[in-house]
Amino acid sequence: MGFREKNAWFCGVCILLIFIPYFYFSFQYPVEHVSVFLIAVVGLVVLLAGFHAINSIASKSIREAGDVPQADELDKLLELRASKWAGIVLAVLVLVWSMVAMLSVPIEGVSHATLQQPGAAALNELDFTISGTQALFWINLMFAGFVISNLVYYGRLIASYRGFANG
Amino acid sequence: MDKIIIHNRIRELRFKAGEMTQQALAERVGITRQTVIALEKGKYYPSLELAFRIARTFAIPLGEIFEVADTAPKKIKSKKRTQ
Repeated sequence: MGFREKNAWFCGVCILLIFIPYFYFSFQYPVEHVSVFLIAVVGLVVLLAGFHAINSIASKSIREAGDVPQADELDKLLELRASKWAGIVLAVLVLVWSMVAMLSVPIEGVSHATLQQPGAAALNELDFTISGTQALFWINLMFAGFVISNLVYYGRLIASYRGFANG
Repeated sequence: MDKIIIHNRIRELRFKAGEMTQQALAERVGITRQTVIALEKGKYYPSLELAFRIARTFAIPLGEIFEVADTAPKKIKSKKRTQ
């Protein structure tokens, strides 16, 4: 297994390990998750830096060359294909998110405003309010789309490398 | 349009060149060993630049490393013309 395939495996696994618990927690407790977000990001950076250090020490070719191998034309082609897939997934998720948000946020916002002012006269749609919990939920949903597109990127990269290796 | 299948003799040439390893060839032409494996299996066709670098490594013309395999042309469905 080449350095770049190992790297893709590790990044994919790290994202799963870090962000599955993160989203499990943040969707349950949207307000408290801000500190957890920082821990998740720092944890991911530490894990990836640790992997690069171990991989560099363990790989004979890297030790001899003194640096990680440069991406050749096949690596660049596979990265391009993976980026294309990830880009499509991200675009679809953002589109779906935007449509759902445009439809549901005003409705939820107006109903929330009505609950806060039960005696008020007919509310203008522009007066709607969204609770912090709801706002953070929607932000997290958008962030989940970004994480999913990253997983697609690494998944596609691994599948391509495996395809070439197994023939 | 028919897909062109390109065969190569990289594996054979490596052995003729003093049993050169895949890693050694990869280092000489500036690619990774995984790319050499993909080339030898015919899973990946190199760019023209890489093909020339491989040819230069073995000091033989490009045409002696890569060759287009004979492919059966696609059958063209003949449409009956109604007059």
